[in-house]
Amino acid sequence: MLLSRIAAEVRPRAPWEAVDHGFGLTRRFARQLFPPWLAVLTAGWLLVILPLHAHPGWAFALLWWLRPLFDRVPLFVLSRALFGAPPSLREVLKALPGLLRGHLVSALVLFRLSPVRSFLLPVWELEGLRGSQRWRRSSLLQREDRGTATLLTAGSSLLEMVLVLGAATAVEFLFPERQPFSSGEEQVAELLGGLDLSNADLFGLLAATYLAHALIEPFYVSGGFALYLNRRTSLEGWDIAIGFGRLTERLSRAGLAGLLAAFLLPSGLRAETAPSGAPAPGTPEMTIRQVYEAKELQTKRTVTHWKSKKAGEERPSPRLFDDLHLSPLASAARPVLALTLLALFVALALRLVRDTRRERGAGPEEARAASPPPRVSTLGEAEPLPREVPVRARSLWTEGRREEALGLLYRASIARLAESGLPISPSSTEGECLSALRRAAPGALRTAYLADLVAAWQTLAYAHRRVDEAVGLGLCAGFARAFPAGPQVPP
Amino acid sequence: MFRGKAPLTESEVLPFDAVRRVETPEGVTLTLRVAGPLPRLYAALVDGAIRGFAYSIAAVVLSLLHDLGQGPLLLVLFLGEWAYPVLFEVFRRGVTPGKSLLGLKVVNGDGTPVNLTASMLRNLLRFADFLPFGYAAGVLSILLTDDFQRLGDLVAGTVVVHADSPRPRASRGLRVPDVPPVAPPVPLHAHEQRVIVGFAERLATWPPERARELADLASGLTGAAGQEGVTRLLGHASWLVGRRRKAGEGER
Repeated sequence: MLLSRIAAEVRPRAPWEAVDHGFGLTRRFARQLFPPWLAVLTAGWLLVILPLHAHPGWAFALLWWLRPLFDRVPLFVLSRALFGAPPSLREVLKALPGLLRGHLVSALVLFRLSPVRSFLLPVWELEGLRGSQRWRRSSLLQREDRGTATLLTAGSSLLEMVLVLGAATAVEFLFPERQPFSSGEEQVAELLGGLDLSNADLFGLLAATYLAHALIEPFYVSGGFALYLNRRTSLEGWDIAIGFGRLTERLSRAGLAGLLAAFLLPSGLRAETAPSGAPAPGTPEMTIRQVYEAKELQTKRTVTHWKSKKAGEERPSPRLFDDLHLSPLASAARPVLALTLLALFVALALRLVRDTRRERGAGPEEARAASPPPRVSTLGEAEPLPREVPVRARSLWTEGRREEALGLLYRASIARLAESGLPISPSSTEGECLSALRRAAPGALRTAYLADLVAAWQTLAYAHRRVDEAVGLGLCAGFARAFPAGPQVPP
Repeated sequence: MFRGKAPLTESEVLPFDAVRRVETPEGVTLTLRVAGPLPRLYAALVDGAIRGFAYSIAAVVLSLLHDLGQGPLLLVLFLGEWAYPVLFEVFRRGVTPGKSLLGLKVVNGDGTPVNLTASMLRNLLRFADFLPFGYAAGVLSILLTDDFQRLGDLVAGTVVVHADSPRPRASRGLRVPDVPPVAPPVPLHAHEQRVIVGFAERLATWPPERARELADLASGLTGAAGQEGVTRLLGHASWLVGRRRKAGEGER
């Protein structure tokens, strides 16, 4: 047994953690563990069941009693796999007679009902001790972790029972005509009573037990084995032994390298500088190079910017634009360029001063007079207003072009109001126009008319809702009254 | 994680250990010591016993109300079954009383404390784990997934881990003997320093012959064999745990 070759992390663990480590080991080595285990288990079960097929109850009891024999197979595979030599199926079968023959009495009679069976199994099977020696060894190991080992045995049986009951319940669910509905509790009662079970039921139970046992038992064995290894780790300092072994190995390698460096310095240097080409594949250098060649690390990019050639040094000719690398022609044109720039600046400054003076000099009255009058007529420019607005609007309305009718009325109203001097700009909204009119002529007929018109227009054009026939025709008729022809209405 | 793409998987590089390795953005690898089916089974049994005790008390008290007590009793049962684990996991950082007894706790897959959403998800899915009867689906899922996760854990992205101190019981309460510190002759890696300190701490648990055997394995460092090697290792350990006084002097 070479501790340094162990294929599992060795450190002192808490007992339950050790058990879980064992469970993990079963999964880690499942490929090596389960084929021989299933082969031996299936063969053994068939050997027992076939002669006893008339008495499945007896077969069941006998198989349960023989369990420790089968447990030796996963322990054999696991102990060898852990030290780097997992046996093949053939090797296990070859070793099988030897495995099954040893100390049958103690396994099947004396310790069959031991609650710490899987914990002590390695002592019996792997250490090969006999008599009082074995007894002393077992009692030393059991001084701690006995409780956990007991709970391991009980818990594994519980897990197995859970799986058997689950399978039985699933069958009940799938074949409901056997019983309308049988809950799990009834199943338990049936199982414990065991009186009404027919042979078919017993064989079904045997099959379910086989499956559950085949899955759980390797975990149980490896859990106990890991607990045993953990106990020995703390008893004998396995982790310390492995750590010291590695330390000594490292130091001796380092010492050797130091000697080489001391005696063969020149050749060593040459060896380091010589291979400028590709290093041999598999070496750390090659791995590092591969990593750096990965796409994720390709972050090279070209950055261009101006930078002083001699940062911090005193410049011999402190002239403007000296750092610019200009062509000879551009160098000759440099004074021209400078003069043009200067002229531009002056012109800009003059223009700025003039504009500022004009704005400040012009009073607000003057400015308003100078600015053009609000060109509300642009509203009508797109389509000139017809001479008889109400008539045209009424005909549009009766044709069903209601939006155009109201639009025409609105445009005409605004145009009249603008003509009469109401301060309206082309960008004013309906609401702004209305409020301007309300301020200018509160309570006037045209104010009420415009309010009705705007409401109808917004209902039709924006809300896309119907406007009553009477309302539309009333607006058409009311236009003439609200805006009697001509701009003589005072604002 | 890019396990599949890496040229070597962790299981090939490192010796097997039943842990889940989580790499933080800073490149630090944390190890979560995932807990298997048996400790979790016993934690669940303890929690079940606590709930059952509470139910029986509630049943006795509510039976004073005769038929009127049946409704409240059903309410107590409902809350006990569905709220008990969530409340403990959220407000006591993933530890129910049963888990506390077994030294377990629930954490997110990245090792952070479990939050309300994840806890509710994993506990609502108990229903799926229970099928077809007695958590059979959950047991299968725990046995067959890499990090011992039942279906609820898989959906909520949580794991149950061993929360008790990673310091092994073997060195708990044990101290490095108080001997004059001696600096190691060569620089040592952190794990090598831990081994030397661990040797000194656990020295008292071994018979002297075994201690000398172990010390002989470190002869590459000590350059000595037998009892002399043990003595030198103790000196180094004393130095490594931070003692700096010379032989014969008192405490500074």
